[in-house]
Amino acid sequence: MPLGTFLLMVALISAGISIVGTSYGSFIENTRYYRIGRYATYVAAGATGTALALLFYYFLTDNFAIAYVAQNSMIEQSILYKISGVWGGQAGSLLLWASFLAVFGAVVVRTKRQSKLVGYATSIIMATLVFFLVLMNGTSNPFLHSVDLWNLPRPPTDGTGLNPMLRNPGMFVHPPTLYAGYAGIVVPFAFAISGLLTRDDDWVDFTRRWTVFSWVFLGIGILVGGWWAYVILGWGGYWAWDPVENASLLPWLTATAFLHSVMIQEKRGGFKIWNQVLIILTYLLTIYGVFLTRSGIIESVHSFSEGNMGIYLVAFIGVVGVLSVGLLAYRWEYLRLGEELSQSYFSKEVSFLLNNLALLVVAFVVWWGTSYPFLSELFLGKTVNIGTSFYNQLTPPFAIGLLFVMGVCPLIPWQRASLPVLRRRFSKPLIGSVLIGVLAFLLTTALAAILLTVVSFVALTHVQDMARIVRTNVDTRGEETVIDRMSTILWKNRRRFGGYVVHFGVLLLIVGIAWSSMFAVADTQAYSMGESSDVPGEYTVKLTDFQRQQVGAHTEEGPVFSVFSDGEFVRKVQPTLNEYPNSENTLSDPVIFGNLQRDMYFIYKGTTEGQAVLKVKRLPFVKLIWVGGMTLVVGGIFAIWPAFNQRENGSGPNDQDRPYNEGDIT
Amino acid sequence: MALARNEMATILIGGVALMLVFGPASAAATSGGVQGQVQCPCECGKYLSVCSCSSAAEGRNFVESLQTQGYSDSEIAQRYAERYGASLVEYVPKEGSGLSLWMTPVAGAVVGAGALYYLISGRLGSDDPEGATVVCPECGSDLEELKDICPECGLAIHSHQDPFDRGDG
Repeated sequence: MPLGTFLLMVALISAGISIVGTSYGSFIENTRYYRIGRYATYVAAGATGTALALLFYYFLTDNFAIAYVAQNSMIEQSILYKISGVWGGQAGSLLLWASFLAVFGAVVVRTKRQSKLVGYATSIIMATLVFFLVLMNGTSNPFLHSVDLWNLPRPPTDGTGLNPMLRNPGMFVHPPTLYAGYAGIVVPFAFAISGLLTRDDDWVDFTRRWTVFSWVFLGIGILVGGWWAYVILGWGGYWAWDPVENASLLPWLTATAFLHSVMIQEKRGGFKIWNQVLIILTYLLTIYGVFLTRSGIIESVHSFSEGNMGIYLVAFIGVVGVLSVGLLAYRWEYLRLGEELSQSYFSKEVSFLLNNLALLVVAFVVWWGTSYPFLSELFLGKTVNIGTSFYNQLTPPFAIGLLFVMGVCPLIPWQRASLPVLRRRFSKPLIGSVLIGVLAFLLTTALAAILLTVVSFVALTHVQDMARIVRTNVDTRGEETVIDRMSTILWKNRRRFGGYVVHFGVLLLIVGIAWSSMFAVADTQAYSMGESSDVPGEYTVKLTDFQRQQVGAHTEEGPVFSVFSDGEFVRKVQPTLNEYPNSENTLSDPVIFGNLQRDMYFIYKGTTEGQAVLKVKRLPFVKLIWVGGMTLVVGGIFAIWPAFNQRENGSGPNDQDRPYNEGDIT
Repeated sequence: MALARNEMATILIGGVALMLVFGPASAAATSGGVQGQVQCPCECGKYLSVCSCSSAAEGRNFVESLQTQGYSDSEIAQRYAERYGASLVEYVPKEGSGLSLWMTPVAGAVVGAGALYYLISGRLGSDDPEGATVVCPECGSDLEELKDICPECGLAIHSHQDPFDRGDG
């Protein structure tokens, strides 16, 4: 048996023991069984992590005796892409995901005090791990030998290489962050289900940072994925509503809704059912994303369907869905206790729910559009494909509604808000945003003006709330300067202001998306040698050369253009078309340059009648998308910062072997 | 003064309706173009905008040459279908069986808004200030009584005055 397969078997058996130990030990309140389960969790994490390390070793040492290495790497590939090759295919990416999950399970059982809540949660995390390990031991094993798999007399001397589209630094970051996010979602789900089993509401406090952590990593993964699409796919866009892009967006949207609605449960003890529904939905959408990517049911720019694991995934989603909903129904009456929401329709609680409504409708639009093609084929017998216009028509209105609610949330009080209070708090932001909107209408378009009105309303309400907190916070009255007070308040309210930073990031992102879509200008022209022409962005380009060269196993060909602005030489650009004979791919390698105000995007489209065809796009404010995305990530990290320097109540290694006490078992 | 239920219902339904009215207008501005509506001629199932095979380059050139000549998206889609086959062109009409694609999310939004209204209206607490829970309006923490300073968030609050107006008070 190959060493890697042996490690996966060890992990599988250990995870099974962990499930039995932690759940049975918790059920009969037996510390010994629980401890066995805990150690088995460590072994499972160690074995899965070692298997992943072994796969890294095989890639770095060009061990083409391993079929997966031969399929996703080659000798000439750089170390960066050899590492990326580990998650370049289905089996490796499943192993990466499983490794994150196993490590998270170990972290949970290590850092949380022994209790029924933690015991059941650990067994649920390990059950998910078992599912992935069964898949890997069965249909998707990354350690199979190429000689056995392909009936070769000897191992190949070189591999076919990583999919050319994945040969980009973004692919070094995109899958690991995405899988960390996916795996992280399992933790709050496991605690939520455990909370249902034990009727323990502490799961909300236990998992808030895990949820934000997963949300941040999912966000980074989506953002880097968009950047990758922008720089490597060569069509001048960053989001194509590709089914796999959608698969990552869906749990992020529902997790965003959960992050907001769970605050109602934390603060007011309400909406327990709704929070359970949201976290269950987020978990199921995560697995659904795997189904979309791995089952082969959809074609995508980066789906990795191999083998037939779709049926297992459908079965898993079905079983988890039925069990979760059944448990929810069983605990319905308990969850309904203390369900008073607020004292008025106009309160922070209701604004959170409106936010949830908008997020869930957007998620539903994305899910429906992604799933409609195969649902149509299944039920109507008709093959259809959903283009981008479906999403582009249906998501923006709800996104604008969501933005508006985002502006209302910070200033509206908890429980109740009378009309005079609303008038006092919102009059300045409303007047300010309308003035900005009118100005925008005079300078741009009606749609841009509407968007800017809403965006500025959100920004102004946030600024106003921050100013109000600085003004009225009694803890900082001894501080001498506004900056001192501000920094003290910021640090003491990391969670709140982290959320506000996230909101500012969202605003930048929305403006970047809107402007780069609404005001993009493109031009395609054919050039003879020495010919020049004006292109969008007040530039002139002149064809000065044409080069074709062999780079390793692929060829690159493309024209060389000199770019001028007002007659002054700016730079040379050489967009290319790269042919990869091993994988029968032709990739466009665009040239992008610009500043915060706009990007210039040069794409070589091939030759026609001896002329080089060049497409030039001017994308205004597209960099705001990346700046906004990074701001969003920074805000998220700021919001959970205490997790790294502040021990949670009753947690820590010293508590691990403490026997059950009264109060631990609920 | 608290707001009446019918006002809330009007706001919810009106909000959804407004969003849907803005939909087509915003779509016109943000649409990804015809390359996101047609599949690559290689029949791999990927959109022309994202496919990287050799046929995609030819398909993109064909579409862009028509765009340069001033054809509309629907005319380009029609020409693309004539050249490469109708099965590659995506067009789900807003009628017949295609209506379900477009109307289901709208119906979902309306049902969601209705459900939210039902959910909220069934869970409103006492509207009477005397019987209402005492809650810090800033952080939502339960208070035993209305105090000048919330012990949880440290913000100055007052039972009879909006803290927003209090300045340094």
